[in-house]
Amino acid sequence: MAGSSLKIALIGNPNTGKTSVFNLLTGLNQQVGNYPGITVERKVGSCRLPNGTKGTILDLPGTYSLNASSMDENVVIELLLNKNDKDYPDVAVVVTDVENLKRNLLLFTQIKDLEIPAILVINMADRMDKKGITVDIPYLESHLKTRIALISSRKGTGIDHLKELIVNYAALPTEPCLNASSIDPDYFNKLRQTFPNQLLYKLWLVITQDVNFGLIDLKELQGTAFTKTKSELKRLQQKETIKRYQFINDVLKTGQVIDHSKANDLRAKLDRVLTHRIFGYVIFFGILMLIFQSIFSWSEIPMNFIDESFAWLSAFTSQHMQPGKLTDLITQGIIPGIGGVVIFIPQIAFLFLFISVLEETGYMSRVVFLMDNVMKRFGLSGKSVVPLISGTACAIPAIMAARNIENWRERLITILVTPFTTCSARLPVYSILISLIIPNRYVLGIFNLQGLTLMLLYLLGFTGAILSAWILNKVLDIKHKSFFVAEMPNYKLPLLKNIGLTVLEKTKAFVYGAGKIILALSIIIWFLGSHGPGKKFSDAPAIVTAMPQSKTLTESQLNDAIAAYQLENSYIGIAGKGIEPVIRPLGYDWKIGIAIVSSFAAREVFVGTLATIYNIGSSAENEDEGTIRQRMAAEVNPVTGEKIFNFATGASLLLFYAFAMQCISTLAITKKETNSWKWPIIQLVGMSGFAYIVSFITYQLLK
Amino acid sequence: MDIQQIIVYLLVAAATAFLVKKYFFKKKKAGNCGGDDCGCH
Repeated sequence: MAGSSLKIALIGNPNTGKTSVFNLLTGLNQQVGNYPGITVERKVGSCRLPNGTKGTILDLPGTYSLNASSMDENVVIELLLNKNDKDYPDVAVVVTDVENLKRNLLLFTQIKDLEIPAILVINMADRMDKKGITVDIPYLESHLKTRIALISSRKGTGIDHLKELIVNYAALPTEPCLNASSIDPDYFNKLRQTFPNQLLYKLWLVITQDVNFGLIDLKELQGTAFTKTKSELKRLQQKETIKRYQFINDVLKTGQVIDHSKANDLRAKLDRVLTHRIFGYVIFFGILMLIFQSIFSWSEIPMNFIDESFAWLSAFTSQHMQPGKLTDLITQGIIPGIGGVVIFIPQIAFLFLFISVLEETGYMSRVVFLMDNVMKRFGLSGKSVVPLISGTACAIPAIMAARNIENWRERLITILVTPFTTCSARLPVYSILISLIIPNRYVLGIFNLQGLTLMLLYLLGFTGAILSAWILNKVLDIKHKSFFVAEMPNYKLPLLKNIGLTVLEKTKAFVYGAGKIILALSIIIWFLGSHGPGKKFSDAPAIVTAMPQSKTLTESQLNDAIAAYQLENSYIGIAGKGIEPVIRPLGYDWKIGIAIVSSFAAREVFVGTLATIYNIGSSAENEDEGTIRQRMAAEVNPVTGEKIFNFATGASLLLFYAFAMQCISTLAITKKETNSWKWPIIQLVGMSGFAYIVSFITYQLLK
Repeated sequence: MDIQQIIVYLLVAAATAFLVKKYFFKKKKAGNCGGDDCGCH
């Protein structure tokens, strides 16, 4: 086996510590794919197993059973039924929680019945004493026909034993736990006779999950003598579940003993407070306030350092490179453009630090439960909180996370309103605009005014989302029946390693994802701003020098005037002037217009674009004038002499970014998830139109 | 045209190509099982 790679699928119910086991097995050797949210991301990692074997571990979305009720659960079923899939596992590692073993074993027995070599991992062993739980491993191994690894992902114990079991997977028994024929002997006998070479339980899943696998087509089964109606199949599925639980109960009667007298009820006490109908909300908003205060206060020093470092780098490069176009591109386009991304790393990292702490401790699930009461009044589900909170990272995975909402109407509304949530791409825009128009001072001695404004904008996004949901709930003519099932995991102290990996992974995604687009756009915008058609651009030095008002200017002022004139007559200046009449009523000039248009590639491009535009032709040698914030703050209207980023324009811009649909990728994912162009177009027109009106009113009232 | 200008034009072309490829020529991912080319049959 040495030298080859073993394919391992990590499967389990949500909240069993599956991700922690994955982190323990793989360390930093992870690649994150496209499935949404922390428990439903498609993660692939590698690890070194005993005897030098390499293992490729696929962390599958959390699922309660192989009876899929959401598209995420389908991912698991599609893989396990499809031997041709490149990820089809050599061995399945099913992670369970020692406190919820009975429920978690349902999925395990189903996987066993697919005759895939399966190892049972019983996690959270460190909590057994506290909860008065004992397990008889040899008994469980013999009755569940498997090998068991008792581990604690918190303490990192049992992982070596798990690796040993994985590497020896060939010795695992593949006998099923349940005789599938017992569900309905007549029906299953007919199935067996018709498809003698197929695994009976696999056939059963093909029929009930409405998918085609192997050589069997569902159409082949329809119209035959043993066709069942949907309600008959549903009844048989229920019968199957009951039979499985009977089997599990029998096994656990001896295999697991729980002494309830030893268990303490701290969880119940905490739940009573954290999900209280008044205190629950007070605590939630208190935590939100703490988060946004900290994002601003703690990030200030590293952000200033990064800002000044890039200004210095730009000046240093300009002084030490040969003068020429490439030097101009690097100092005026690339460095300020990249600086516009890197500067926000501290804030993004702090945001995800807090979000992952809330998820890791189990508090986020209480928020889902707490908010269900509020959500259902607006046509949403309690589960809509997950996309809405995930939306603070990025609307794309958040919209995909809406797959977990079983009801189509609630899912559609969630998809449509999620982009209102303030995503991390808006954070750089908010951050720079707030620092320009809101004074950095404290209210009541403890609340930073800038932090409060940021929190207000996040709440505004959330309010926009639920009010739009309310309107859509009234307007949409889709019938639905709603139910809400959510699991509240145990409270846990967050694992530093998990939090560190989440922060690293999300920050990397922000920097590399947006960074490449921003770098490319910075180059193009610099080029379009440094080149122009006609004589007005090429003869700018002569034209400006000949102007009467130029006679009184110093050499530096004259150079700036020439640069401004050239920029205005460059390709980007001409394009910006073209859209200026549309955005002028909102208080924006053509440079802001260009930044807004380029934001459709990625919102965070706004800052980088302005940084590039304001740097073109400027004297970058002077690093004191070179930070992004300083350049934006110094920008004045050439006609009125007033600051461009005054309170009215800043507030109008903040609201525009809060409500406008500016992300092409989000529109693409909405199209994919709704399978129609109708909904993304409604999203684009509705959100952007609303943003325009709100920004117009704001500017006109405040100017 | 000096070497700096040539590099600038190359970088602009590369940046444009990157954005065009990213937004207009996205790779199609394999569909769900059941399709003709999903590899399940």
